[in-house]
Amino acid sequence: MNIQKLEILLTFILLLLSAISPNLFVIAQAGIAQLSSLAFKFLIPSVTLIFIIILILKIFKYTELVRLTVTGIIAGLIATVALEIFRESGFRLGTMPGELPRLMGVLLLNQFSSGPDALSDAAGWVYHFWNGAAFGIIFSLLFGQSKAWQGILFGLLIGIGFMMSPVVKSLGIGLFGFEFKNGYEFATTVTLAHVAYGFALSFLLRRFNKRIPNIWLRLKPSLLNNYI
Amino acid sequence: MKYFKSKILGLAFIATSLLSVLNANAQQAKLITVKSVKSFEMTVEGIKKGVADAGMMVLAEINHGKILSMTGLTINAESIFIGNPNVGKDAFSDNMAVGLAIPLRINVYEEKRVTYINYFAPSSELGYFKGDKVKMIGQELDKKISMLTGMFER
Repeated sequence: MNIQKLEILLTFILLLLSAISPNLFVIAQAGIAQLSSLAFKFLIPSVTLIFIIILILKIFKYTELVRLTVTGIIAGLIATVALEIFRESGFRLGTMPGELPRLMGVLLLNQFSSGPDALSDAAGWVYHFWNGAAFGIIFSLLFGQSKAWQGILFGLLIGIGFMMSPVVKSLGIGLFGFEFKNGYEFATTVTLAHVAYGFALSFLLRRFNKRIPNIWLRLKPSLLNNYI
Repeated sequence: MKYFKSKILGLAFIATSLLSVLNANAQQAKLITVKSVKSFEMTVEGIKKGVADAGMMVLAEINHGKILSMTGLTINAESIFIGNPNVGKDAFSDNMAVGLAIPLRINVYEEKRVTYINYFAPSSELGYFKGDKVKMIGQELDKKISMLTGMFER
């Protein structure tokens, strides 16, 4: 396998691995499997593999790809703080039905019946922030030095996807949370939180990924060369 | 003759309706609430310890207070599921459907700084199920739970 082909392959593997974590919560809430077992089978291996691939990329001197992945993780983590400002405020003001990171924690450690404790809270928050980092990797790999509108759109899409997912259905508040309170509080909070996340992500990656174009421009020469 | 026939039929209808109402009432699970003289925490701990003396064990716990803290509600409430595998074996051997009523559920909650213990009388819950052994187990469990919760009334 030549170097160009390996770069394309590793980029797609990174995208695939990053998409695993956020989807596990959705799968669990759809009743397909328990989050605790999914964490062992998919979450931990996917996170481990991402870091192994970063190491491989570093060894083979794929500096651009390493930079995109690492900056994606960092920007994703910071952007989750921006999301949290809205989500946590919303929860305290009563516009959110529950503390999702705490719920994630008890589901991850399979201790719903005994309720959350310090360990499950820690697990839930780590998982929540890792999801932010995972979306950060995806965005960074796709857009490189991104623009604000791309980030806002990305955040909006995540928010809409979340509000249509089994997670929200399982909270018993209906699609988009229309059955919660007056029907608009949940959707407004989630939308604002995800727009804040997307904007923060693009704002940071605009600086972190200077002069790195989007995935199409990056991989086009390799793809065309291989095709010809 | 026709008059008497319709009278008898009418009486029979009323009697059947009355019986079905009485039967439905008899089938309702009997809720028992005990006011505990101890604090919420001490009552929960006491029940867990007392369960062994009653020849049973704690099979599961649901901490409603902690679970609901995820929604922002602060309360003290916990359900304790108690049972004994050997008693369960007897009950299930007699009627496979009894899983709805066993293990027994004891609920402890705090309201206006007063702790309460409530549960459905096992005999009334198990009364829904056919089987002599099941009914006998229900009555025995009534006594055990009454003794267990009675410790907190004093």
